[in-house]
Amino acid sequence: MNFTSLTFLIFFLLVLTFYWFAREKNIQNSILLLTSYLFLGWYRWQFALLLGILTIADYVIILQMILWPEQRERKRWLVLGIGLNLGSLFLFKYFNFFSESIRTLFYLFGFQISTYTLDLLLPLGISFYTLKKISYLLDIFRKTVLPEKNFIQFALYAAFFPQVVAGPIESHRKFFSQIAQRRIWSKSYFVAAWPLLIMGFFKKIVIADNVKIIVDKIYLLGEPPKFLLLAGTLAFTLQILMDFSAYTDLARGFAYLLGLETSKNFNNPYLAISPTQFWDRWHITFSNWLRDYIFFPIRRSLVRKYRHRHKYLPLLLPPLITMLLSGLWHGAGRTYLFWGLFHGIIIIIYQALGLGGSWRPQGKVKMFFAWMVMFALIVFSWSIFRAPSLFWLYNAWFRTPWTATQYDFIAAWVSLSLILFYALFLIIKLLIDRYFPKSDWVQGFYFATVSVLIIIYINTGSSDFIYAQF
Amino acid sequence: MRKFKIFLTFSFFLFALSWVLIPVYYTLPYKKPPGPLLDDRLKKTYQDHLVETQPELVLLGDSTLLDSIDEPYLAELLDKDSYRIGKPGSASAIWYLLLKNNIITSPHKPSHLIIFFRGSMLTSPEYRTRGKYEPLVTELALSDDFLLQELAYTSQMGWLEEQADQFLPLFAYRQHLRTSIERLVKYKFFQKMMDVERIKIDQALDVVFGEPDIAQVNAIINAAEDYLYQPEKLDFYSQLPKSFLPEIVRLCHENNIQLTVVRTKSLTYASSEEAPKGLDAYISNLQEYLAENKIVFIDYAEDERLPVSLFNDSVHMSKNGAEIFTEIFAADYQDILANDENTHE
Repeated sequence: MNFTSLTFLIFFLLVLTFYWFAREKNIQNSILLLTSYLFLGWYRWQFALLLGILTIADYVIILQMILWPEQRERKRWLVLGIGLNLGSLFLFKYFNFFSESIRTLFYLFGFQISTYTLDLLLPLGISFYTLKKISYLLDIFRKTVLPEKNFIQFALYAAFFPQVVAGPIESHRKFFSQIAQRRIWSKSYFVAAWPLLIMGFFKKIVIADNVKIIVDKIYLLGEPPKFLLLAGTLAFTLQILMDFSAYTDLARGFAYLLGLETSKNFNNPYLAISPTQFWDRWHITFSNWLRDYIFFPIRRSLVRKYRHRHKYLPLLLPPLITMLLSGLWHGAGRTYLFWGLFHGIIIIIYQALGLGGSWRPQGKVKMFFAWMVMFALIVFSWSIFRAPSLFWLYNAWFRTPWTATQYDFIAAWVSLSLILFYALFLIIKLLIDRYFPKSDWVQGFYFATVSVLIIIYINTGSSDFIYAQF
Repeated sequence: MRKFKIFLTFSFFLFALSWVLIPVYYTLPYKKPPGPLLDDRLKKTYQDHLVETQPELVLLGDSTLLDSIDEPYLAELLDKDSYRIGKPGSASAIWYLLLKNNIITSPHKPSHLIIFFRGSMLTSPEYRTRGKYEPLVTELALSDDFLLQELAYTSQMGWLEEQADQFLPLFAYRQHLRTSIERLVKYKFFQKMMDVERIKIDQALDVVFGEPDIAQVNAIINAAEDYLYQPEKLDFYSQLPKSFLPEIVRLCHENNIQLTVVRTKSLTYASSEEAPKGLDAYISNLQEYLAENKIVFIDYAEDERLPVSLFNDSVHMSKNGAEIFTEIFAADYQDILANDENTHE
């Protein structure tokens, strides 16, 4: 039940009707919980069952953490909770990858061993709800948040259907504070929702699904010449932003219609001038999670340990480990790991050059140059992310010519023209938001035009969202 | 809310404009019947070829047929003239149309028709009929083909889609609009920028994207083929009345054409254990149905004489594979022809 399918829209209309007729917050929350499980079970009932089992287990663990005042006992329950969540993520997402990697490693040293692989399907949304629950367990342990004793509310936090497949990874503080009260319909929900929904449909149906055709064609080639690869990578740079931000826009729009505000996930990430800024603008809820639960704890512990010697370690290791884990989170594959490593390295280099944090160059020329460099790095990183293998990537970047024939040159330019055409609508939106933010006429006309394009480009079947596969 | 009202006003205006402009610009009718726009122009090249070469056997299939049967070699082995219609991107809707509007209407009718299929192709009437496949269907159909409209299109549409397809030109003629937009960017814009002829642009796209990496292509083919193996598609008896198969069988019987159905080998599933649960039941039900209707069925799906090394990708064979498969098929078909002759004697 894809967000852009008619089935989902009918499902959502039914949910809305029942939800707004309910007069009690508990009934509203129960409707949301029930429909969230129905939504997940629509794909496969096993997905809903797994989430249900893990949620019950986490709830029991949280109750035990409240029950035991001793730190040691609480820590045991925390370890169990994190182990359970990470263990299931590992089993379903990474077991085969590590199993095959171990076999390859042994093979490289001349040993042939047999390892087990499992024939398991990746449960939908597991990467997202695992992070949500881990952050909650950690905050309960740290006593930075009051535990939620209402099971329905706790279960809803993990399963809330607009977010369960591909985020945003909502902060529990923000979510619980909203569902703790009864929602009463207000016109403002609709006012906030409709532009998000139109932009979400537009980004996915018109831009992402069509740019995907160019990307797939180029990345299907055995050895694309560099110029063509560059065109394909620029297309993917546009596709991944459009696809993922479309999902977020739709998730936020649907949540608004349910009277719930969810966090922004993107803030013009390709306008970033440094890696730190990029991660402050790209997949913001995930970046915040990494910062709060991986980066800061590692840095704090390294600073404590190496206060007097090896002072460079607290500077080097936290970004590297955080970004490697970020790569691994995206997928069980060497390209994702390498993508994470690449981002870790550029963060370190920028910091070593004094260009981290809130650095801003003086003057427009320097600013433009800084943006160009960062944009080139982002584009290159997406080629790692999208490449079918590292070997393919190495060949494509380092062993093929810029253009082998005139045909390559033409194909690359045609691809670039199409990318430019699709990107144009976003550039126009950026300009409108900048120069006519309050003009209802200009904004209204833009939304009407993109609605027409949505109808023209609508298909009976839209491809899945990229991030739903993670 | 003011912004929303303005948006609605503009949308209404643009939609109203599209109601008038699109049918006028493309000279298309309003209201449109649901499904593709059919006319009475018919592509008859297949019939012309039949008349010209007078083959006894006609082989029907998609691009995999082109890569798995060597036509001259088969004719030589069987000592019979054959005509191979391997239409890339075709499936049961197109095979039905080819039979109905090209083969049985031909002054020369073949005595044998052999259809090569895989998965649930024979009972999935909507498979490969929309989007880029639609022109392939419309060029072979006549405007009064209600069965085609019903099975391949309207029965697959929801109420909302059916209404939009009839009354909303923006939706109904979206394929025309998309093509115009793409042409505008691909040819007009690019031609002006780079001064390259249109034909060269098409050639470049064909040449550059014509030879993709096989390992990756397999993944894409397998994903596309998944459609044929969904549980509801493998429910033979619920799919049969909704499919073109009974009509294909009827047309063959009425025209004294011996129909043979060949299930080709596909590597979509590495082994029968990995294949979807309902596939075996589907094939045995299909076999039962074909036997009841005196149709020959040959199954190569599990044939060990066709190893992986004979394939270029998960469904297309290599040149060597085509040679070997042609020999295997010719030997099997020779037995069928011999039986056929004995029965007639």
